[in-house]
Formats: sequence, C-alpha cells, structure tokens
Amino acid sequence: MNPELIKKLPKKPSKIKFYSTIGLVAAIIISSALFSGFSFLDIIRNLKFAFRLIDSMFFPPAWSYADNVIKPLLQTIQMAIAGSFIGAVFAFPAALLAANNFIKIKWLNTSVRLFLNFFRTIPALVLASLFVAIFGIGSFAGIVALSIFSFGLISKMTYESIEAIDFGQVEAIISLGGNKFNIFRYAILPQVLPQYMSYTLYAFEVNVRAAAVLGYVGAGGIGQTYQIWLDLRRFDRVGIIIIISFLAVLIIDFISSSIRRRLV
Amino acid sequence: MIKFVNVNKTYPNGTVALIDINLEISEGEFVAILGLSGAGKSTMLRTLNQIIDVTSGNIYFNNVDINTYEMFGDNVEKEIARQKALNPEFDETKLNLQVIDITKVKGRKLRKMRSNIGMIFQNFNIIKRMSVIQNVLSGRISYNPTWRTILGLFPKKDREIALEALDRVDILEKTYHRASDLSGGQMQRVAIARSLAQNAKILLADEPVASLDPITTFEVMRFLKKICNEDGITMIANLHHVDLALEYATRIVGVREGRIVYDIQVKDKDDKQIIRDLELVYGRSLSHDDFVGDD
Repeated sequence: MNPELIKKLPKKPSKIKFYSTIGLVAAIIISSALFSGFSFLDIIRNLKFAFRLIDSMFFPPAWSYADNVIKPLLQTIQMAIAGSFIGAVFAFPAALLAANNFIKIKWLNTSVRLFLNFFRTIPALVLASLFVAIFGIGSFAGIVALSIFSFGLISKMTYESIEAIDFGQVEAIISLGGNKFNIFRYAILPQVLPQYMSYTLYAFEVNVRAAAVLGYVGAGGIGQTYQIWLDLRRFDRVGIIIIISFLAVLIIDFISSSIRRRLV
Repeated sequence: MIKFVNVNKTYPNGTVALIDINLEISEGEFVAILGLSGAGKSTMLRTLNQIIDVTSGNIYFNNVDINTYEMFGDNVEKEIARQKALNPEFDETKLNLQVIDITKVKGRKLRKMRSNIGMIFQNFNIIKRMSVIQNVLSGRISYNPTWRTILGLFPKKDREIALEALDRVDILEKTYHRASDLSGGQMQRVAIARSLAQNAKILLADEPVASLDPITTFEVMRFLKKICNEDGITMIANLHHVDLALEYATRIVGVREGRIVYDIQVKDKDDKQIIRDLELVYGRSLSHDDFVGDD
C-alpha cells in the first residue's frame, strides 16, 4: 500500500470498549442466573409435570364450559375500556402541565413528571391489590387500578409528543394575539391528537392483558374465574379460559393496532 | 410609526443577537432586511411583536388607543374612517391615542397589540391538520372570546372576513380543503389570508419565500406587495435574495453581526450601486446564489 496513505490514515480505534461491554453484559446475565437459583436441570427434570399439566388442560379443554367464560371475559374488556378512558381523560391535562414547551415553569414540569413517573412505576397488579383492600373485592377496584396505570402511561407518552411538536405553529398563534387556550386549541391539539388517540388505544391493549390477571387479586374479570378453577384443580376449565382469553387478546390487538397504524 | 431605540438582545446562552438597534419605520414602507444567516434578522422581527423579549431598549408604536390597544398608525384620520367602515358603532371620541412601548406591555394588553401585527413565516406555520377556512378564521381569535375560539364558533361576520381574505389571495376554491393538501405557494397564500383576516396593520415576514421555487416566489411576493399597497400595510421582510429586495421593497436595511450597517431608500440609489454597497453588509462579493432571477 501507498506509504503516504498509511501515514495519513488515522489510528484504528481501540476495541477494548466493545469487548469489555460484551464481557460485562455476560457477567450480569450469568451471575443473575446463579443468584436466583436458575438451573436447566430443574427444567428438564420437571418437564414431565409440565406435559402432564398441558395434557389435562388442552387434551381436551372443557368445551362445554366455554359459554360461562364469555361473561367474565366481557367484564374484563369493559374494565379495560373504562380504565383506559378514565386514564386518558386525566392524562391530557397532566401532559400539558408536564410539557416544558407549553408551560414554561420548570418546577411545575418537574414535579408533575415525578408524580407521573411515580404512578407508572407501580405495576397494575400491585395497584389492584391495594384498591381491593380499599374498595373491596370486585371489578371497581380493577377499574381504578387500570385507570391509574393508563393515566401514567398515556400522560408520559403524550407530553413527549407535545414537546416534539412543530413550534412554528405555536409562534403563529402567539403572533395572532392568542392566549394559552388558543395555543392549545389551534397549535397543540391538532398536532398531537392522532398520537394521543393512538396511545389511548395502546393503553387499552395493555389493559386487556393486565385486566386478565387482575382477578387474581380479587379485582374482577376473567382472572377471578381462572383462579377459582385453578384452585379446584379443574385444569380442563383453566384450559378453555386460556384459549378464549388468548383469542380475545389476539383479536383486540389486531383491531387496535390496525386502527393505530391509520391514525399516525 | 415604529421606533427601535437602543435595542439589545443577548440570549440566555450568551449569543449576542442585536446590538444598539436604532431604527424608525413609517407607515406604508416596505422594508427589506438583508444580511447573512445569524446576523440577527429573525430576532429583530420577533422583538417587534415580543415573541422574543429584548435585553434592553425600547420599541415604540405611535397612536395606539390605550383602551383597545388598536394601532392607528401615522394617518389617524384614514384609520378612523376604515374602522367606521368596519364597525358603524365605532366612536372616535373615546379614543385615547398614545405612544406605547411594546417591551413594557404584558398579558392581555400585549396580546391585543400583537393582533395588530401579522406574521408570515418561512415554513408557513399554518395548522396543517385543519381546513383552510379554519386556518384563516384563526386570524380572528383575538377579536373573539376564548370560549368561541375553543369551540370554533366564529360569528358570521368573521366568516365573511375570512372568505374575503381568501378571495383576495386568489385561493377561495381551496376553502374547504385540508391545509396539508396544499402546495407551498398555496400554504403561504393561506398564511397571508390569515394576516388579512387578522386585520394586521404591520406585517412581519420572516424569509417568506425561502422554501418556495422561483416562480412561486414571485407570485407570493406580488401578493404581499399588492395587499400592502391596497391596505397601506407596513411591511418588514427578512429576505435572502437581493433582487427581490430591489424589486419589491421601498427601503433596504442591512444587518451584520447584530448591528444595522446599511439603510437606504431604494428609489434614491441605482440598483448596481446598492448591489456594490451590499458587499459591505455580507462581507463578501455577491454571487449567483444571492439572486432568484437570472439577471
């Protein structure tokens, strides 16, 4: 090779960073497995129990019980709808307060964000068990839990969308003599509405899945039915519940995500 | 009349945008502001309607009615006649015209003052997800109570104003189209219609044609010139192209590194002489890129 070219060529970047990153990640994974007592041997040893369970659940499932699954399943979906709707209604004002290009008060943005993060970090199941203790067993506790969870999710994504809007349109409304309400109505809402609706639908998808297990802590829906038959070791009925829930989640996800694709 | 007195602007990050700006602009002038990118042209326009505040200095507007913050400009009699034509109940005896420093005005009063000052942007900044008519109606927001603007319930009179504005920029046939379906030139005409509906007495244009092709550029410039002449609107435009300034402006102001370094009436000087002078503003000789047309 041309020696002039080699002299001009910058030094090859060192690969130390690359290898050390891989080493670190591998170390974390292996040590986590060791500390949590994970072993492949246990999986293989217990495989036959798993097969036996699958056999009693699905070969065959209790088809005749299917009719009884529909009602709690609908209740689960209703909980998800109510939860996402209530969460979404409260999420928009919160997102406006958190967005630092709409309200330029730093302490307010930061404290609203902290508040939102707080709700988002609590899993829906934990919230549900909390509200079951407050409101008693039933779907109301589940709806409250899902509302709060959706609120955290939707408001976070919405305020990020608000911060990413084209600020030129805001400037235009300011130059027309508009106040904060006008800016919201004419410059922000048209720009983020499709995203906001998409996030609400996404929260609904997540909620359907979450609602399915909420019954486990007594917060209504299909999880409650599931728990009863599991405790009674009626695995054929558990099997049909799983099959129908799976299909329902699949269909809802498909419909919701195809609407979302069209929105944005 | 607009009067900048010792205006300085330093951004919080330390960038010095404007240094000791002193400038007087009379009603009906078409002022082209020329200068390199980053010279402070956009900042200067935005201090005028206080989208950007000043660090020090004052910006005065004469003959502002301190009850309504409506601007009556240099020719008060003419503006009163126009107001009477718009509103038969207009009572000139209640007027209290004073010189107002916009840098000292806040809140509702500032918003009222802004409603006198239209603004045209390089990226048009119309609301793309709304219809053309809704965009033009948004020019009426400061004339209506907030609840009406939120619900989009503008009075019939405002709808007429909006439709007339669309007709004046020759785009009435797009009234019910979604704004995002328009071409760049059409979007800019909608933005001009919005300023017309706003009843702007001063029009600030921040690179109004920088994202348009040459043919559309001349079309948009013609519309701007036309409405300014017909309505006696004062126009202040940041322009990139020297030939546009020579053709449409009555006055050229050169800005370099935050200072005004050049200020002439176009009719007083030969075009070639102005082009030579502008090399001082740009700090380099002018090239083909500084012109839209061929010669």
